[in-house]
Amino acid sequence: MTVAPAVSTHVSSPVSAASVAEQLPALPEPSCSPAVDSTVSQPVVPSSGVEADPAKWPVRVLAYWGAETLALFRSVPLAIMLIALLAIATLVGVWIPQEGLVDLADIKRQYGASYQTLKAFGLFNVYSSPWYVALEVLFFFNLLLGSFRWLKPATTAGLKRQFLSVSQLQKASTALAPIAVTAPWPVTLEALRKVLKKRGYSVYVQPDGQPDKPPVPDVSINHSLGETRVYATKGWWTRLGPAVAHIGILLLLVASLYGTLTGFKVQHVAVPGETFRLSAADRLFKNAPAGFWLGQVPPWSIRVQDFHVDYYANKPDTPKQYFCTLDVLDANGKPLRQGETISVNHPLTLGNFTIYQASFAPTGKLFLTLNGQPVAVQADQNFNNRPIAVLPVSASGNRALFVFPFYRQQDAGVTDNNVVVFLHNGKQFEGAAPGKMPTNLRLSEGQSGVIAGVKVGYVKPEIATGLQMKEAPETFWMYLAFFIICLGTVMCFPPQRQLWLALAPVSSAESSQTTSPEVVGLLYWLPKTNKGKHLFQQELARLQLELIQCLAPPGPEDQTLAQSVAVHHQPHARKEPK
Amino acid sequence: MLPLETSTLVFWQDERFWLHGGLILLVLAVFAYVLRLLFAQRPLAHGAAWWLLLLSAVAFSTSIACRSAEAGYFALSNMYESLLVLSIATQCLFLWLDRTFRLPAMGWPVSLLVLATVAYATTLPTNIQPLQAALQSYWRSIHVPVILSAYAMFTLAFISSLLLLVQSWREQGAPSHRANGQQNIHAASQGLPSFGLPLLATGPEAAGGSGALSLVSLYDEVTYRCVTLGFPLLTIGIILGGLWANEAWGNYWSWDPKESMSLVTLLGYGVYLHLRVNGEHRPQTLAWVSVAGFVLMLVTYFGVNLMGVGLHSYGKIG
Repeated sequence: MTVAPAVSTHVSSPVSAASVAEQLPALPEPSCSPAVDSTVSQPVVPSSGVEADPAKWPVRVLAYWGAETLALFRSVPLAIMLIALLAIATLVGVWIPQEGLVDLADIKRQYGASYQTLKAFGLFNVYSSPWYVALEVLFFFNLLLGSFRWLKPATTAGLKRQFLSVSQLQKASTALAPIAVTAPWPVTLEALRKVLKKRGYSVYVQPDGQPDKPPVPDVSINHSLGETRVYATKGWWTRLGPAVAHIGILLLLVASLYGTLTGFKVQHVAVPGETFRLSAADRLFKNAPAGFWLGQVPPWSIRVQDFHVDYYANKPDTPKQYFCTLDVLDANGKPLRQGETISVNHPLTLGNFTIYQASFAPTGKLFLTLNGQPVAVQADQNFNNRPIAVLPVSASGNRALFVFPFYRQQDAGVTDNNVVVFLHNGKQFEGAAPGKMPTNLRLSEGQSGVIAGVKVGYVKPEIATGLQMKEAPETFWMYLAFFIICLGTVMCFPPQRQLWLALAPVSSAESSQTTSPEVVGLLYWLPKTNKGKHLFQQELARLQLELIQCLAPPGPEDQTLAQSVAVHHQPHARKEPK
Repeated sequence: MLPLETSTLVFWQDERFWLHGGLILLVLAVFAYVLRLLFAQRPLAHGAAWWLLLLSAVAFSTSIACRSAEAGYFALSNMYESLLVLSIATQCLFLWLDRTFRLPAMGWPVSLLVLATVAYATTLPTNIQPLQAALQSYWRSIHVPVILSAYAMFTLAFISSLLLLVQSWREQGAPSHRANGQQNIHAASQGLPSFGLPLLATGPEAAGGSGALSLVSLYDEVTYRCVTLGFPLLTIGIILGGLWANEAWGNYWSWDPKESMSLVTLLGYGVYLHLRVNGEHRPQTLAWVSVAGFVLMLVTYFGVNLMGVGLHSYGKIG
C-alpha cells in the first residue's frame, strides 16, 4: 500500500515536512463564492405581460422603485454606512455635553448664544433626538431585511455538502497537485478518512461518482474501483456565527421595544420609618408616552425600616457600603417581602420588579438631646451660606442654640458626622469677643456637652436613602439576546476549512506511461478556507505529510513512482515561488 | 513630617520588586527581538526574546498579585493597575500570536509599546485606595479584564496594520523591494537579514508553507484575526458591563461617555468586519480602518477620562 506525492518533479531527496511545505502552491484567496463554479441559477425573467401593456406602466414604476428600495434597504453597503453614521452620531453625543449627565446651567454657560440653535438640532440630547432614533430604526430594518437576504447564502454556502468531480477539480485553478495512489480504493479511503478525522475534519464520501446517491457520512467504504468523491470540512458551525449574532441584535432591539412599551422606573428618597406607594413616589417614569404605554404600576408600597452606612476604618470619608432594610407591601398592606436588606450591587428582585440601593444623603434633620430630652431639629436656616438649625432653649425664645451640622463626604476634612453648637442670647453669641471665637461645642455622634449651662447631646443626623426601582418585563429576553450576541460573535472567530477530494483510477493507457504499473489512481484535492489562509497553508503542508507518513513511508521505489506519475499528472499544479 | 513607613513585606512580597524586575526583563526582550530579527537563524535569538517577554509578563502578573494581596481585592481599579493589566494582556496575546504566525518583525514594536505603557503607568498615582461601593462586585473582576483583553487585541491589530502599511509602501515605493516581495520571506527563512529596513522586512520565517503568500497578506491576516478576536471580547465586555450596571444601578445603559465611546469603538470595528465580508477591499484600506478603530479605542480608554464626567470617573488619569 503506497501513496506517493506527485507534487513535484524534484523528488530525488527524501520527502520531509519542510520540502512538502515549500512545494505547496498558494491557497485560494478566502471568498464566499464556491471554489468551483457549479450550476449557477439564473434569475427568472418575468413575463413580458406588464411590459407589453402600456396602461400598466405605473405598476412597473412602482414595482421597480419597490424592488430598488428593498434592495437598497437590505444592502450591506447601507449597513456599513449606517454603522458608520451611528458611530459618528454617538461620537457627537460623547463630544457635546449631554443634558442629564452635565448640569444644564453649565451647558448654557459654555455655549451661550448658540445654545438654542444647537438644542433645536437635538445636540444636547443626541440619543433621544429624532434623527438618532431614525438612524436606529433604519438600522433595525436594514438588519432585519439584510439578515434574511445575504446572511442566508453566506451561511448555507459553508453548510452544503458539495462533491466535486475529477474534471471539476482539474479545472479548478486553486487545486493542489494530485497524489499518486497505489493501494486499493477501500484501503486508501480508510487511510484518508483516518488522517482527515485526526485533523478534526468531518468526512463525507460519494462513491463511484454517482451524484444521485445520497452522501455517505463517515462509514467504512467497501465498493468497487471507480471515481470517488470526498468532501471534508471542519468548523462548519462558524458559518452560523454572523447569523446568530444578527438574530441576537434583532432580539435585543425587539426586547428593548417590549421593555419600552411595558416597563417603568421609580425614584424615591425615603427616610427610615417612611412608607410610600409606588404610584405616589417622588418620580415615576413610564418608559413610553401615555398613549403607547401598555404596562401597569402594581399597587405596592415600600416601607423603609432602617438605613445605615459603613465607612472604611482607614479612610473615614469613603463609604464602604450602604444598606437599607425594607418591606414590600401589597395593596392591602400585607407584606410580600419583609425585612429584606439591600445594598449597592445587591438589589432585591420580585419577578420583574427590582429595588436598587442607589444613593444616600442627609436630610438636614438632626436628632439631639436637650437637657436629657430628645429633640429633632431641621437645619433650615441660613448663616453665612451654611445651613444651620436653630433650637430655642428659653420660653421667650431669645436664647437659642445655633447648631452647625458637618457631614463626612460633603465637607472637606470631616471624617465623622458632627455638629458645632453655639448659644445665642438674642443679641450676640455667648463668649463672643473681638478676635475670639465664641464659646462652642463640637459634638460627634453619641457625644454630649454643656454650653452656658445648657446640656446638649448629638444623637445622629437623619440620612435618607435613595432608592431606584424598575419594572422590566423584558429582562429574560434581554439576557437571552446578550447570550446569543456573545455566542454569535465568538462563533465567528474560528475559520471553516473545506477540502474537496476525488479519487480517480488511472487508465491503462496512462498507467503504461508510468515507470511503475503499481499506480492505480490519483487523488485530486482542492482546499478552501474562509479566513486564516496562512495557518491553513501550514496545516495543509502537515496534512500532506501525514497522508504520506500514515499510509506508507516512501522508499526509493516509491519516489521513482511518484516522479513518474508527477511527470504525467501535474498540469494544474501552480508554480512555486522562486 | 510624616513618619517613615516601615514595610513588613519581604522582597518577594513587594509589588515593586516584581514591577522593576518585569521592566528589566522587558527592556531585554526589546533588545532580544531586535537581535532576533538580525540573527534569525540563531536558535538562541529565537527563543530568548519570546521567553524574556513571557517572564516579563509573569513578573508583572506577580506584581499585580502582590498588590491585590496587599489591597485585599483584585487590584484593577485605577489607571495604573489598568495599564499594567493591559500590558500583561498584550504581552500574553502577542506571545500566542508569535507562536502561531511566527512574527519576529512585530516583536520589537509590541514589546517597545508595552515598555512605554508600563513606564507611563509608573508615573501615575500608584497608592492603593479603598474601593467605592459600586466597584465592590465580582463583575469588576470579569468586566474589566475582558475589556482590556479586547484592547490588547486591537493594539496588536494596530501594530500589524502599521507593519502592513509600511511593507506595502516599501513594496510599492522601491522596485527592488517589489521584486523582492516574495523573497523576503525566503531570505528570512534562510536566516538572511534583508536589506533596507531590516526591522520591518522580515516576516514569517520558517512558517512552513506560507512562502507563497506575501508579507502584506500575512499582516492582513494577523490584523483580521486580532480584530475577530477583539470584537467578540469587546462585545462580551460591554455586555458584562451592562449586566453589572443593571445589577448596581438598574440600567443596562446610561449613555455615559465611556459607554457611548465603547459603542463607537465597537461600531468602528464592526465597519472593519463588514467591509471584509462585503466585496474585495485592498488590505491597505482595511489596515487604515483598523488604525482608525485603534484611535477610537484610545479615545475610549484615555480621552473620555479627561472629560471627568460620567459613571466611569474612577478610571481618570492622575
